[in-house]
Amino acid sequence: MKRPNTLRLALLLLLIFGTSTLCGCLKSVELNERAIVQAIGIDYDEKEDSFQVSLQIYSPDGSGGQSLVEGSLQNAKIIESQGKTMTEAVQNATLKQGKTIFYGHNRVVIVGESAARSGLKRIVSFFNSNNQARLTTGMLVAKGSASEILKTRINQGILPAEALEKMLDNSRENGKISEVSYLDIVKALENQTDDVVIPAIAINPEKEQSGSGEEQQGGPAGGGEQGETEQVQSIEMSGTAVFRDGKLAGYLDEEETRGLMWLRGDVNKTVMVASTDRIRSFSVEVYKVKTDLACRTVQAPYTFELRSHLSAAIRDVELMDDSVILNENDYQAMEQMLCRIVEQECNKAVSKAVYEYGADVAHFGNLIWQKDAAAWKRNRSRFSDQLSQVTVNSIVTANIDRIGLETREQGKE
Amino acid sequence: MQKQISVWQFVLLLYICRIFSTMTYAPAMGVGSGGVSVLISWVLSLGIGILVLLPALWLHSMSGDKNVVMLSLSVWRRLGVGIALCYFVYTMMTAVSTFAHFEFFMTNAIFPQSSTLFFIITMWIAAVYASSMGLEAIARTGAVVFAAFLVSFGFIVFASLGQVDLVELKLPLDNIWKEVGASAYEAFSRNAEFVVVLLLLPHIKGNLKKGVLAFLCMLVVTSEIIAFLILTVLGDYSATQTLPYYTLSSAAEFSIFQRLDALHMTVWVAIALVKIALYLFLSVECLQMLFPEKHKKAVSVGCCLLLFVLVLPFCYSRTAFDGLFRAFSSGIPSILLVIVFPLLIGAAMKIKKGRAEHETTKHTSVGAASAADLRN
Repeated sequence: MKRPNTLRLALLLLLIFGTSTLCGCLKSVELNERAIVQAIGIDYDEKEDSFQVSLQIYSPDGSGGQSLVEGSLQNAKIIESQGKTMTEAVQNATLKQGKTIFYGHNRVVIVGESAARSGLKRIVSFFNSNNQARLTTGMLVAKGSASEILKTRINQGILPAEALEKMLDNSRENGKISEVSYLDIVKALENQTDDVVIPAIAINPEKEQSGSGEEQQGGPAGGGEQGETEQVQSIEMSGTAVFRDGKLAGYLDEEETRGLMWLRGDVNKTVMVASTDRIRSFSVEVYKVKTDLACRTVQAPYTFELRSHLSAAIRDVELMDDSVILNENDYQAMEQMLCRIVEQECNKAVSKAVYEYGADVAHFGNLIWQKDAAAWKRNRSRFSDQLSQVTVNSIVTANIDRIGLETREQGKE
Repeated sequence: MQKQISVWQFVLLLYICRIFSTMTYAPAMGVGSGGVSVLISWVLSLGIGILVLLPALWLHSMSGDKNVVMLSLSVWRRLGVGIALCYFVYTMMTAVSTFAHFEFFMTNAIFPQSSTLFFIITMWIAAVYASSMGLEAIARTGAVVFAAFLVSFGFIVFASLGQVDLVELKLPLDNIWKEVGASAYEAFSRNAEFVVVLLLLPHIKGNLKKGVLAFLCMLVVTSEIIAFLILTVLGDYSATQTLPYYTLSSAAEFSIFQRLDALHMTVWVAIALVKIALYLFLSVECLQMLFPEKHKKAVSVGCCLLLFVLVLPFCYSRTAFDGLFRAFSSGIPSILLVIVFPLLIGAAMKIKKGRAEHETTKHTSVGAASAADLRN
């Protein structure tokens, strides 16, 4: 029988030893020792020049019986801490509880109004240097305190942050807000001309009824005893926050937000409601949008042309007189009305975001640069002051090509 | 010398090594810069690559069984040793640079809390072992890593397409051709693989010209895609990133995979291993040619230890790391080793061959005259 080679045997033992002892580059952290951050709220205290960070941590509130996670409960707790910088604030949050904070699953970052007014650059600097931070994390600006938004009880889904994320997704899909991720923010901040826009969120002043009376974890808004109906606040998307040079300049309302989205080519689907001379009201679902914003004049006064084509489907129609049926003229009138709405919304967005806040929210500078680099080189230093000389001409066409299954015959109710 | 690898293994090996540098590539964006010049420069670099490799192909046509170091030693004695040492230093420093880049990536992007020494030791052991297995083994591993790279690259490209924003593509504000030229020169200066072509010439079986052209085309296509995605997905943010391709992979979301940086990291580690092993193998080979056969093992061990010693300052000192990067980016080493030395060696060989032919003709004519005299 052949004797085993001593060297090979030694190598084999070394390999076995290595695989059992060198099984990772980092000290292992058990799941129950991790604080999995679901949402981050950032507020700024101007008097003390400090940041207040609120971390919404996943914390299952199960009964311990059949399931660890109970959908009717919050399953989250809030950790709040302060610091002169974001890093110090987060570090202090770590000290408040014994778990290792993990940001890899963070779903949303909510920047409070105070922090937004103080400037985004100090905030993004922290996330830039954090290797766990995801570039695709959703961003929101809270009208008021970010901490309050995080503490608000949301009665949907297993996690409040998940519900918030779904609310964002639904609003995006319905053309209510633009999709703005952390990557979009840092891109705009690094860009010479672009300004940042972030969807805004606010607490709904009207309280809703909640059937579950479980005490809310970590938040002051909760209360009540189990089984009783309680009054809880709800949150809602509230337009768009516009920044200039990284600092909050103001907000756009719902119409202006959609106008901005037409300009940026962010609308994929939306519902529009209007009326004509013969139709009391109609709703259409715009299911396909082709948009192209192009620069026409590279010298002040700058002219841009928005070409937009909407394909829409009729959802409901209420006629002035039930005896009439929709004819080709009605469809044309409806299409014209859609075009007029888009033009109006665009104009509103431009006058508020560009003229009033002085923000380049639709890549105007980049479009001039793309069209004529030499002209941009000459004008770039004074472009932000010349934004009031920007004009957007909208050429919108609409086609209602899906008329639905409902038919109206003359003389029939 | 025994021909060990096929031309396609050679192409994949070169490609994998070059891709390591492309993955660390940061387009010069920011004030006054435009992304379009970067895209044009890659096309231009194809032409530069073909021109730059002409001396290598010329040497190969003259003496296919010898590499540039062997030829220099056969043409000159002392100068040949100097040239051999230059190639040794270049390949060793490329291995060191790759090592330092790998360590930088692991400790800055992936595991900021981990020990630098842990990565140095583990990668060094793996690279020394891979290098000791020889070129054939490295080339085979390269082919496997190439397949893994293609899969990860495909995922990242596919996942990033939805985030492409063409508004980020802009012309430079200053002289476009100056920027294109600077970018193309940088692409050339960072292409250490031109030196590999010169050193691996005798090991390759097959049509070298086709292989070199395939390598350059594959490289240009991949680089164009990477540069395009970096520019259009990350925009001006890419200028602030040390490793923009990694940032791109972390922004790419695909189906249930929330980010693809883990995939990129795995492939990156494998690519780094292949590249370090190849350059260590080449540096050992360059030095071994200067020593007698009996000292070859000692040279090999010495080179491996030297790699470990050299890596330490470049991994721990940012100044040293930046200095090494600047030295490579200057392009001077590439110009000397890829263009000047091969041309000098080729010219010297021609002259030597001409002289030898002249001598032979002279001897033949003298011999013929003597024979005629004798007959008379």
